[in-house]
Amino acid sequence: MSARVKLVDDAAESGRSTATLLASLGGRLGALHVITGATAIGSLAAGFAALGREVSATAEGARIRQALESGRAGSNGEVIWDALRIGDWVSSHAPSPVLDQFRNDLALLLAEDVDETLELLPIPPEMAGAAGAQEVPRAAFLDFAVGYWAFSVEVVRAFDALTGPTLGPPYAVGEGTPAEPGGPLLR
Amino acid sequence: MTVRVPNDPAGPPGNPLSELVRLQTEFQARLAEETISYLRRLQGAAAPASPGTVVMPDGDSTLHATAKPGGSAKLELEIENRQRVHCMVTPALGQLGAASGVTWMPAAEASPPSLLVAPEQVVSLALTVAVPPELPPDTYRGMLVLQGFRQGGVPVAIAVEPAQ
Repeated sequence: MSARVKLVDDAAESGRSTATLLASLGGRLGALHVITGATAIGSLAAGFAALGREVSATAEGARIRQALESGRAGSNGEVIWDALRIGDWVSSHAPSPVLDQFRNDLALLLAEDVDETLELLPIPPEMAGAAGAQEVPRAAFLDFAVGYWAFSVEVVRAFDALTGPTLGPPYAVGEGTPAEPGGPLLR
Repeated sequence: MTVRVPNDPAGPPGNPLSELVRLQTEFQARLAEETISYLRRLQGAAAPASPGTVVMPDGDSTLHATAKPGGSAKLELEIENRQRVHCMVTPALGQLGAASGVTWMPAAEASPPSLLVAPEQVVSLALTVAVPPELPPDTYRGMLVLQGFRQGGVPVAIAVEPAQ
């Protein structure tokens, strides 16, 4: 038996529209000028770790986590993570909602009213407020690794879906003389 | 008044000075921890928001399926995008459990594995769940989550019938 769900905006926010997504992207770019590189990277890493904790609760995520945990990569990763105090550093940053940000940026690429909305800039971004100030558990190496995997898979799938309708065949046939091969590797 | 500071860092039990140093160290460590936590919360609150998506069930949204051990169960989910922009949907099945106490980490194959849903569009998603031959007959319950979305997922109930 099938079921049906609706995807709706969060009632506590102004919702997903081209204007709010552009404002969010602009706000993130603007924030880069007032924070350090370490804070930006730390927040991203903390975001991957938060995603990894969530994905580890699914069957596929748990499988990946267990596979990493039982191999050398897992133990070496944990040792390096602890010795270089990466866990302490990552845990001292607010996690970026990396998946939301990626999906929102992707939605902008498909929006039909980007030109009109760009004319409205600058649009002030909404601040994360209390939602962004929540306490999160300490980031472990496996949280980060599983989150990074899940994010990477999402990126590949998103671009497959994005290019699917316009992707040409894997070969191309043309006419004329082939171009002379060049480049430093063929010298 | 003279205070004697011994070489032994631990000092004799009950030494008021070592106790003072211990308390001071603990206080400083706790203060540093709380300051970092406060700064992290401040940084999170001041960051630009990233508007997200909430999954809202339409009526009784439990996904039911029946299968035999060694076979497969098929789950079908209709997804309607009520937002003003595209949504990327990635389904994932969590651990399933039966009343008897048996737990099952299912191998599920979604078709398609992820999809882009346009505004006002309704799409169907199929999940094929392989049922292990050794799984005891029972009804296994769990959740199908749409990865990264807020507020839970869709309840799932798979009835595994006896093989004969």
